[in-house]
Amino acid sequence: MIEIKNITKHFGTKQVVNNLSLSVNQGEKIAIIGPSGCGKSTLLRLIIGLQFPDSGHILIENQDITQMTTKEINKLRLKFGLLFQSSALFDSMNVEHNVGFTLRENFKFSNDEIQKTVREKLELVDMKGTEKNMPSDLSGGMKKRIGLARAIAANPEIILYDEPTTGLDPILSTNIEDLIVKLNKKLNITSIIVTHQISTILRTADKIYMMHEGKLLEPETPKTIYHSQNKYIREFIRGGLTE
Amino acid sequence: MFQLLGIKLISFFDQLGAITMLALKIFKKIIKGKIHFRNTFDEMVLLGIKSLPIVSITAAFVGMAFSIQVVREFLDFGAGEIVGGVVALAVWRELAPLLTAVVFAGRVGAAISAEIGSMKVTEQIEALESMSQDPIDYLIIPKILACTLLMPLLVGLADIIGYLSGLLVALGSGRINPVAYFESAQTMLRVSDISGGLIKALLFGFIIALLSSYMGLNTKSGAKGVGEATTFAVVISLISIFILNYFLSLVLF
Ligand SMILES: Nc1ncnc2c1ncn2[C@@H]1O[C@H](COP(=O)(O)OP(=O)(O)OP(=O)(O)O)[C@@H](O)[C@H]1O
Ligand SMILES: [Mg+2]
Repeated sequence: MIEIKNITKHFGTKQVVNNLSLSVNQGEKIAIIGPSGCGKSTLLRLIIGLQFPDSGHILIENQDITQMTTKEINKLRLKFGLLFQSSALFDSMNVEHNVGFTLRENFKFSNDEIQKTVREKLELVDMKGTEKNMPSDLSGGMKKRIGLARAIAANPEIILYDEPTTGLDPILSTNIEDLIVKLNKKLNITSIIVTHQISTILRTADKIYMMHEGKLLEPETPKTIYHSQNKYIREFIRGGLTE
Repeated sequence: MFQLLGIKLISFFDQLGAITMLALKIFKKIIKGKIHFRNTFDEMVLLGIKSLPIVSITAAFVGMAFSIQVVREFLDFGAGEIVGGVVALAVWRELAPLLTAVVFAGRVGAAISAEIGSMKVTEQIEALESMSQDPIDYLIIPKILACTLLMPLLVGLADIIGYLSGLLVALGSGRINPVAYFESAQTMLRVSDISGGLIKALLFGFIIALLSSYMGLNTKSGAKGVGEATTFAVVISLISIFILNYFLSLVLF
């Protein structure tokens, strides 16, 4: 369970998050949408403690990440998988070492176990047999999927997806959406999905939050979102369709 | 004008403070035994391979150029038999540590700040953190240890290459006895001349790695930021080494 209570975040004089609250139950899948630059990636960074709010609290399973030592945060992060918007693969490592990173460094898997797990995860993201490729050999969409394989390598309890389907073709995009749903169902994973893609919103989320002026608007569901009472949400979704 | 100077001065001391903090943090972690041995070993191999050729070439040519001058002048004075000692002293105390550090800063220091800088701007540092790895432990300490341990080895090699290339020049003059070349070095040199040079090497290696890592970690976003950080890392490393070298020569020999 993730509980965000009244957090605020500034960069310099610019307020990006403004008294925002959100709670996500165990096993829930929520999508966060909103215009570019509104603070979605920042929100994910705050949840995993890569940045800290100026005020407010973030509780992960009742532990307040804003009050923890680095050591405690590192321990807590083992429960998380984070897919970066930019994929953020390690340039100096091949795909196998990227995907197996946390298994090797944190969970002390043997080489055989790492190889086996990496193969499984690569298969899940349609990237079978790319173990020895370097990130520089991969396209943007391929990197994204390797980033996803890396995020789910250690079967995390909470996965934060920053635009998991952006830059993928419709078929791959559907596969990844199915994967998000499947992981969630099978392992009861809590998922927060930041996305612009309408298909991803509709196919993966139980609840959809729109970020607006540093806050989250009342959530919609895939069923209600087209008839939202809120004009910002309506505009955002319509704009997304006509694009 | 004075105000600008003041601001520059304050930012200089800010940076110095931040670098000192980083150094202290690193010492503390090393003492606590937070050493990623596999990464340290990998870095040593990688950086060693990167710097070995240029260090060797530099040592050979600097050794030869210096010996040309010494041989010519000393023969005029009829002091040909002490050429070996003079070359050895110059190479072991000053030339090898200093010039190895210069090429090391250009090759390895630049590579470190570019690598860390680009990891910073492409969120790879955050990726490390998100997977519970402290970038200082995982990245920086291995590089710093590798450089600190590698530099004395490289300088030792440069000592030998520089000294022997001096011998070549001396022999080339046709008027210097190779036995005298070795003997003069033996009588004129103390162990502290060699060990002093190696202590310099150790400190230079540490300083280059520390400054390059710091610049890398503080890279401003974008490819331009990485370029700037790299240039700055090399420049600041070189200046620091020249200044430090002077004081070390003062106290060591
Ligand atoms: N480290 C930082 N320093 C200063 N400003 C920042 C930093 N990170 C983000 N910002 C600013 O905060 C705002 C929100 O950024 P964020 O990346 O969270 O947006 P986003 O909603 O993810 O956008 P996009 O959809 O384009 O990815 C932007 O205006 C950005 O310039
Ligand atoms: Mg973003």
